[in-house]
Amino acid sequence: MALGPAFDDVLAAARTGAAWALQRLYEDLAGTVTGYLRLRGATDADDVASEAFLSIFRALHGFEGDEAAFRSWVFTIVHHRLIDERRRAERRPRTESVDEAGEIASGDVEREALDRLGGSWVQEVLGTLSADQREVLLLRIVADLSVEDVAGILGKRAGAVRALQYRGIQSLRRQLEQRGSLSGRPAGDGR
Amino acid sequence: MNDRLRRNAGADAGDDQGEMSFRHRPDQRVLDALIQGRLPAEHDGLADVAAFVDAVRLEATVVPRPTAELAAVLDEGITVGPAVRPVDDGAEPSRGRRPSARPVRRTRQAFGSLVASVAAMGLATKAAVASTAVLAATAGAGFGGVLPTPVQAPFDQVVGIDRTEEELDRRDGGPATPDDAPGSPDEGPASTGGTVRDGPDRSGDARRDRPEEGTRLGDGVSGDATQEDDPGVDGAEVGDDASDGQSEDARHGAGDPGGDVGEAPPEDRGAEVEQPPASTDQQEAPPVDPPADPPPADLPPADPPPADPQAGADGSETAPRDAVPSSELQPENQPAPDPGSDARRGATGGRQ
Repeated sequence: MALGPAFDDVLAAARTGAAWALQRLYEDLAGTVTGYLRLRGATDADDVASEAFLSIFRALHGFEGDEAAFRSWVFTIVHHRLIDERRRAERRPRTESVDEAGEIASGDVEREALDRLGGSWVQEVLGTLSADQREVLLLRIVADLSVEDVAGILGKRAGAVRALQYRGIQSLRRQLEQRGSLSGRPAGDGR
Repeated sequence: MNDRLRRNAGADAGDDQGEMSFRHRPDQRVLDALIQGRLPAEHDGLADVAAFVDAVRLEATVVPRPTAELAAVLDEGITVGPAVRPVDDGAEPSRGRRPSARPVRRTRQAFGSLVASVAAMGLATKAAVASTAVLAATAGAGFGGVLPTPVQAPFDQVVGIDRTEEELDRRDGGPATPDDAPGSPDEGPASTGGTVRDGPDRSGDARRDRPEEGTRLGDGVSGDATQEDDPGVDGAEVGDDASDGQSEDARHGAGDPGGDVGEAPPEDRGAEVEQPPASTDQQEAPPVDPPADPPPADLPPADPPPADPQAGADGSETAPRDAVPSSELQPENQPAPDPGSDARRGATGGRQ
């Protein structure tokens, strides 16, 4: 998953715009970024991820740091891209019928997006969490960031992030218990 | 405070419903291990959560299909920001233009400031500044020896500059006659000053090569000699030169603007004037062969001048040259029939 010792060389080449280095970085992070966006309820996670990577590649000359710092920097950009995409989605006129809109309107845009995407058992469970808990857990689990990095991205204190993480896991445990054991989930629902 | 702790503890206990892991707040290390998929086996109560975390991670393993723009970047690379350019890119970095642009910008700013300062001045101040600028420019040009010859000569007299021949050559690029030559600076440099000073043979070569220049210079001499405002001041200089033991030819030649010898230092004038330039030969004086050696020291001084300009081997060679303009000038401002005086006057006129 991680580039490890080769990271410095790859980054140096990528900063010069070398295609092979950009491909290495993309292959290393694209799945994680897109998964994070998808689980956060992005309408078109692939497109948002591509836009985010274009921004990342164009801004590479301004980055200094190791691989962990690079990962944190990438998800900072992705996080802001997602926020922008959410704002654009909110400004877009909706086409649902009145009944449809009444059914899904719950005040949580991210949860609504997850509901609209539907299907995935993981997304359903995540949809039961608060937005803050979901953000913290996804950045911790998917992006594999430290509490401090997550705090930096979200603009929160590390203690607040730890508290959200704890409550999120507690909430997950309750949801999983209510839904029965993971072995009892619908067959073929691997996602 | 105690109520809040009790309430939180009760909530945890109630939610956990006997789950061991949440009866007390789990260690941060346990949570970190759970999130990273490395939950120790002794935490069985969190097994479902650990399985969920693994499922979430699986959601993020599929590499998406990039957009066309990103695919192009991944295939061909990208020209990144201003600080770095691709290694295989032969184009000049955009940063390379900045150093050259900065001086231009600074120059423009300085010029703008100057213009603004001038615009803010009063009329009298502007006039004073302009006069000062013109004066300074003229003085600078005068000291640099780049003024026009009619202006440079008086300037040199006023400030007492005695220019070397090299300077004169450099300035005029032509006849090295800053004091006497009335012609323009583009009148053949090599055919006049340099050749006359170096020797008669070369002077003869110069005359053969460019006779028309000599003619023009001779015309200039005549013109200078007939000027009405000729004060005749420099005639004394000629006399001084003559009193240094030089011949009448030397005295005449020192004042001869057309002789192409005025450029030389005073100590060289005697030798130079023995080589009449082509200009005077063709128009006003018969050609003579200038002696290669300097004039003998026992030649008669300037006084008395020869009665007959045509007579004498040495003294006559320059007299007819000046006799013509002197006769022309005589009714106006030359009372003395002395051709030597005429010559001195011609010298004065040439210096103006």
